Amino acid sequence: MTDFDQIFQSYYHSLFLYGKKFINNENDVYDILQEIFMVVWENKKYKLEDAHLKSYLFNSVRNSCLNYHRHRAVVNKHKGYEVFKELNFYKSGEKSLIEKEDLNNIYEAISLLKEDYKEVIELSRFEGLKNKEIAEKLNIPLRTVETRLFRALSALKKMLTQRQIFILVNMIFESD
Amino acid sequence: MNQKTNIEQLIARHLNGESTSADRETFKIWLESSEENRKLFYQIKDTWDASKKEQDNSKDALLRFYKRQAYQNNSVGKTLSLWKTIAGVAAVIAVVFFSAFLLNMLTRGEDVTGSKTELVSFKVPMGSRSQVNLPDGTNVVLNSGSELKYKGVFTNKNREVSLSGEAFFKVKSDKEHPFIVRTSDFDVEVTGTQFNICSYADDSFSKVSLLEGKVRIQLEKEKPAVGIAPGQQLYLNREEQKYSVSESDVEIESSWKGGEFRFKEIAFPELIKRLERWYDVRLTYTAPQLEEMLYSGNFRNQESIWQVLDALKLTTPIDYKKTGFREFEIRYKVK
Repeated sequence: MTDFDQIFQSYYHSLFLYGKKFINNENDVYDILQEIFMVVWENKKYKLEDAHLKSYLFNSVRNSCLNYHRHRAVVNKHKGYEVFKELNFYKSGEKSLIEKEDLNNIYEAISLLKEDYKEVIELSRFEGLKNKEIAEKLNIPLRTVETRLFRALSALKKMLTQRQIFILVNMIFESD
Repeated sequence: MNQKTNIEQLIARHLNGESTSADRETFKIWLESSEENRKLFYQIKDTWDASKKEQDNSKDALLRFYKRQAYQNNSVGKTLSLWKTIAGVAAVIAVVFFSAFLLNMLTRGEDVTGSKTELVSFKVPMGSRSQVNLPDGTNVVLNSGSELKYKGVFTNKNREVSLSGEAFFKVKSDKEHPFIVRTSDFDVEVTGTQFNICSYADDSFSKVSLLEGKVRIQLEKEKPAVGIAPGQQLYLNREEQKYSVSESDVEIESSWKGGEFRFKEIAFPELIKRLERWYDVRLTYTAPQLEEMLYSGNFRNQESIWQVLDALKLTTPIDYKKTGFREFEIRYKVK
């Protein structure tokens, strides 16, 4: 495998998920990634040091998403405006979990949630059920599903900022 | 109900795409009212976005990248007339280099071909399916948990791949150069046809079903190959090392490639294995009564594992329970 292939395969999925945060249309995200990797290919950016390359790639996706919405802002003023704010949030130095490659940690954090919360998160995120379907499935009110989902997310958020918890979790996971 | 839970629910509904227009109005006011609120929302949305388990298809993407890049390079060359002279000069240089290369290759013959034996592999994770187009124009659809490999020398003349798992092949016709699929149980040799191979390492069987054309299956070296006709299936029992050829519904056998999950009179253990691969879950059971049941059914992939299990519950005396992260236990229910 060439350097380029290796870089492509190790970053593509995360970059795709990152682009999907800001752009709803999968095909448009594919197009953006195609262009970004084209530049990487032509300018031999893959020779860059890892840390540089990574921030270069994520910045490129962010900028491309900004441009994408600028083009469309004329068509859809209000939606574009919201996304700009979100994009600028990440531009201001905040790092997305995707960018930090904490995805695996998320899956592990989910497994640590309280049973009630874990159940709704799994049904919603992995089984793709709507809140209403979850309510029917578990025989609980819709409001309860919504509250549990929110609380589960908040709990996850707390775990994910405390890196130490993760080191601990990872160690336990590896040793068995 | 207090203010806090109200906002919680608003955010949850917003992220789920289920908010009403009144919700949206309230949410907007809340969001705009302070930087803190906005920050909180982005942080929650980030966790939400990151926890979507989407399929990683970077291997396909890489192929697509190369394809599109080749295409775009061509069209650029035609429009930039200014570069034509430079290109002309470059072409002459290229020809010189190429003939030097060719000369080099002719003198070193085997050496050059021998060095390029890099292994190319396509692996499809549990719970998803994927398609591969091989350089000779052959199309292969791979089912969940399968792997297709070939040595870096796959060309129009040397068409040889190895498979573990299940795949549907649409082989580009070429009478001169047979297409060979190697599995742990047998080699399948064809010249141009459509067929399905199912050969998972953790199954007790391996089978080939033919839709169109002709295939030859080499079970053992030195022995004559077995041929099957369209609409037939070769079924190999691994434990007994015995095979049988029978009529089969190849449409059903290969329905998975169209995103459908169809099965006709298959045993419970096989059904469980297929569901595990298809939905990327773990299913356990202990009741011996279950082993003897035969199942027929038809699901489209839109159904979740819950819906499939619910359907099975309706038609057979079973019950199920979620026991862990993507894990279920199936129990036999005495009538």
